[in-house]
Amino acid sequence: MHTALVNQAKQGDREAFDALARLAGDRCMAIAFRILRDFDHADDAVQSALVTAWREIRALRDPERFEPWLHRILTNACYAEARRRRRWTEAIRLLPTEPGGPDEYLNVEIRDQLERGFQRLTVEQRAVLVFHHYLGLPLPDIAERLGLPLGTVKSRMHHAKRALRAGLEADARTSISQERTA
Amino acid sequence: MTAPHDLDRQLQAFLSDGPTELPDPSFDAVRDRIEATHQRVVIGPWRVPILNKLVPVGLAAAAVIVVAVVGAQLLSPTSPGGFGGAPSASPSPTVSSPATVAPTTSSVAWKGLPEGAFVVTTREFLRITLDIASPDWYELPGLDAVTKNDDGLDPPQAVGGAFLARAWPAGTGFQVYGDPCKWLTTIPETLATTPEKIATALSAQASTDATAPMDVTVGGYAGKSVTLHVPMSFEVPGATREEEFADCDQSIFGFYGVEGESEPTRNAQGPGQIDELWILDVNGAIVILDATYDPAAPAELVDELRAFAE
Repeated sequence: MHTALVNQAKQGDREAFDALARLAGDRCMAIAFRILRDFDHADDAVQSALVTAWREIRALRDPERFEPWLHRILTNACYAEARRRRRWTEAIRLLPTEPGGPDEYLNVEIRDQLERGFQRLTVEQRAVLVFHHYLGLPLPDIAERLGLPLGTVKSRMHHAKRALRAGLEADARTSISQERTA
Repeated sequence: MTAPHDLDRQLQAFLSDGPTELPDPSFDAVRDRIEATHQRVVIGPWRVPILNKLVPVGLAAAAVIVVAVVGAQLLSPTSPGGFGGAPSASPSPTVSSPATVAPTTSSVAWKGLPEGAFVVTTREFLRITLDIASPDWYELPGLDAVTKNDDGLDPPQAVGGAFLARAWPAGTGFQVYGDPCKWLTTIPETLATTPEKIATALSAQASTDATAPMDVTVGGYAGKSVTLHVPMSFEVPGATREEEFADCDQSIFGFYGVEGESEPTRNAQGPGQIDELWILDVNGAIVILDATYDPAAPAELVDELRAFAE
């Protein structure tokens, strides 16, 4: 992504970094929101990540790798934000996600179930899901981007999906049980 | 039952919802914050592409480091100061800014350094030259360092190493934290300003299993050496550096800082990391040579790192 801007930013050019931030910020927000499920926390994480990126950019070896490098910083910022959130809030509030248009795979009930299930995952598991199912990255790329062994990424993906599936099935059983007793 | 492919599709649909833009006020806030934030010129994560894993190691002839004091008035691209022995005493009328002789920081290509003298550090008050005696050393631009065998991993899995040559002007005060993990709360009241005081404080640090300071001489300049070890107890398999140091202040394991800086100047990259330091007094300036390597680094690489200073 815009190697010249990265090189200028590495030399301390704030204007160049500002331009980079504006190019990368929207996608960072999309990723952070999907990991954290909270607009304000995602906003904080993105701002924190961009400031960290500015401070550390001189250590970035390959300017061509700016975006993966930034995404790794962003993911760590999301982890930190999630930890802070756990520390300061007693309960995780559900997010007012704006429902999208009709989707053949996702009705409102399933969406709510997924939201609850997603909230129960660890932030590390959520990150792997977001990079795979939102950004469409293959697992080896996720491993590289997050600085994890491939086995760890596979493990997080496996456990995340298993937990989600179990949550969906539990919700379905509860729903059937309530219908029978009604 | 939820079929696997159904869950994948549901996840994709679920994740496609939500905001995709960072609000303008947030961009403005970032801009304001970076106006007040200095870029860090310290050792952080560095990465070198693996160009050739079949590197013959152990072929280095004894390398030499020469610390050359060339007062600002003598600094010139044509000055031989710094290459082998005593500082040059012949001032040049064509005074140049240090930048003209500093290693370029704009080079993008990963190109191994040629064998021979390499100016790794340039300051107004001194210049440090390394004798690159074997292939496949790479500069870490802006970090006053060279590296070899960097495989993109952090300790303890990595096999690479780096040699840092850092310098501060006379009178600089160092904050050697009482405990690198709790650096924020163990900042000493008294700053260390000499190699002896810095080495003594490093040697007394909690958590680093440091060696006792020893007298050394490098390039004719006296100082102290000490070796630091980052405890393996921080290791969490598969975790990031920040996760491994999550219990440390700001998730950083910081060895030391300098006065006026709010964060450590030198911090660890991972559990098991070893840092052999030569702390020198160069006419009042403090030079810290830091051979840093991972526990899995081959002995030949460690020998090469030490050879820069010995």
